[in-house]
Amino acid sequence: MGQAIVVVILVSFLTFVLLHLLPGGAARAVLGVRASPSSIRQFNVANGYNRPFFPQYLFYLDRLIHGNLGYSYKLNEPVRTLLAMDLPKSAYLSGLALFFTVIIAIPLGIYQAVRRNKPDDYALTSLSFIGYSMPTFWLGLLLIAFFAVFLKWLPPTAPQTATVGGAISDPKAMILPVMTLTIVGIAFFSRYMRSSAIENLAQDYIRTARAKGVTQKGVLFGHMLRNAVLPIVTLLGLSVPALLSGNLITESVFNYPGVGLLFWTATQTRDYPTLLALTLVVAIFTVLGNLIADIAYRIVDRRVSYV
Amino acid sequence: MAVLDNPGPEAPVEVSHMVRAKRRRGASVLEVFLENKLALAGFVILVIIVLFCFLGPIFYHSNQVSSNLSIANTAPTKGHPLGTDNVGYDVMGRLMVGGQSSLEIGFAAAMLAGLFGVLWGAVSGFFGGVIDAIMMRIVDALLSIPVLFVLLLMAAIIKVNQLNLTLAVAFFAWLVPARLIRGETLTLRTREYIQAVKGMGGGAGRSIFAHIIPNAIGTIVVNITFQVADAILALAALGYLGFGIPPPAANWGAMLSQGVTYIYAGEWWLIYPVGILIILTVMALNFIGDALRDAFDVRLQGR
Repeated sequence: MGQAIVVVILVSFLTFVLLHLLPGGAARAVLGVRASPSSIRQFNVANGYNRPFFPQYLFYLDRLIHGNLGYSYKLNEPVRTLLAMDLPKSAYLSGLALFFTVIIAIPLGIYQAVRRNKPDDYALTSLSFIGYSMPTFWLGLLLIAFFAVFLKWLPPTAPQTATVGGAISDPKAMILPVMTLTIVGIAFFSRYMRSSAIENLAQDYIRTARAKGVTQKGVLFGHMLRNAVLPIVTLLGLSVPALLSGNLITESVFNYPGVGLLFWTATQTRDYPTLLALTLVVAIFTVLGNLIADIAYRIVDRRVSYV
Repeated sequence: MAVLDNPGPEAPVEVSHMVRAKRRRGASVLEVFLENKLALAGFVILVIIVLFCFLGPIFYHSNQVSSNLSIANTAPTKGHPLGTDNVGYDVMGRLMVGGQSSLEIGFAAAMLAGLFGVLWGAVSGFFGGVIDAIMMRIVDALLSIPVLFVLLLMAAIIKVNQLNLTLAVAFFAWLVPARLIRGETLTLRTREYIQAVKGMGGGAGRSIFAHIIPNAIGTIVVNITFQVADAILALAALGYLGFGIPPPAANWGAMLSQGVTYIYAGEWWLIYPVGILIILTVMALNFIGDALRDAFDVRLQGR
């Protein structure tokens, strides 16, 4: 916990340094290259940029703690408003994808572990490696080309909506983006599930259970699952930032208006306040995700304690 | 008595025994690696791809410097076995040039990251205490910053070229090896042979460079393999988001993202050859990495 706080403070410092690395400083980035020296001076005074480095950082921290993430001069809105608008949509997309990933990848990994080094395991392993090795944007575009353009079953873009309700009310348009994320997720998660299940199946308690006459199903789901699922818990914790900040690539392929797309648009328009605020927010989510993973780990595995 | 009388051959035998043990360890790693058919296939594929990219241009000549719009987007013909791209570069030759750059950036970034990460992790783990806490919190902080976000931010600020891309990718890639080696060092530093170095007056430098790093070599090699694959994928993502290397330079990621804009024009030669090369390279590296991990991991042997 204490470590998490230290990390968050460090991250805020790093983003602050990044803000200062901008060519010409924040004022030029916001007001443009043709800004007059007097307007730059005015901007710097108004934002406290004329002060020395550390007081500026404290000022920045103070604003952060009060929930002020900065102001997007390109979109003319506080970053907080933008986040409040896009965050639920990203969470909805990634949450759905994560849900399908987990319910498919866990049984798949167990199946591969049971059938280890048999032809079907090799085939599934190769498939998951292809899924992992494929650039995400290409996968998304291939799915669009096949399902939307060739078969004409599904719309090629994600729901174009301002609210999360709009996204929920258009499930057909969500299928392709969710599918893209799920395929990549399964390729990643099932590898971990497979090796964790293999490791656990070689343990003594499995042999004991079998000797007691527990059925295969009972061994796998009654005894092994809870132990083998631990790495997945960690991976889930690591997925929290993606859950909240969205997936940059998938969102831009399907033009889904989530946090990822917001970030990408901000790089295109050089909207630095938004970029830095989002970087900081996602970093904080990452730290939170790790913390949640630690706590969840402890709930799943009672032997682990952090005293 | 006879042994004491004739100690001559005894010493060399001792040495050769040690050498043999060392060689046997190397041989067993190689054996386990070769046993894994997927890894062997991966290795062969990687060698072929490297030869294609670096030796290919010697045998296959094409103009990769100036564009020629009069032959833009032509389908494969005899002169251009894989057609030409949207400004008239020969795709076959471009695959070689782009592959050189992708592989160079991937390997260079992974090596740089491996080197720096190993030093950072070994120093942090070896000294422990406050130094360890500070060094590892820095790693934690950098790890929690989304890589793609910062790469995009950097690409928006600095000029994109091969050196900058390598440094940018390496800047984030060193964190994972640093953590892995630190963990390894924590267990290694309590071993007797490190205690022995200390007892004989050896310094930290000797412990780290002569003992800890050589013992952690397996972890390092495995990680570097995965890093190369990840770097190639990261380059592809960056290329798609509009931050590839500007022409006439090229890399696979930029080629693929350029090619997919023609996905509905039926110009498959701009998409599939380069896409398949990326997948093959990343897969081959992952197969090799997996097999190396198994080979270096003594616990998994004989299972």
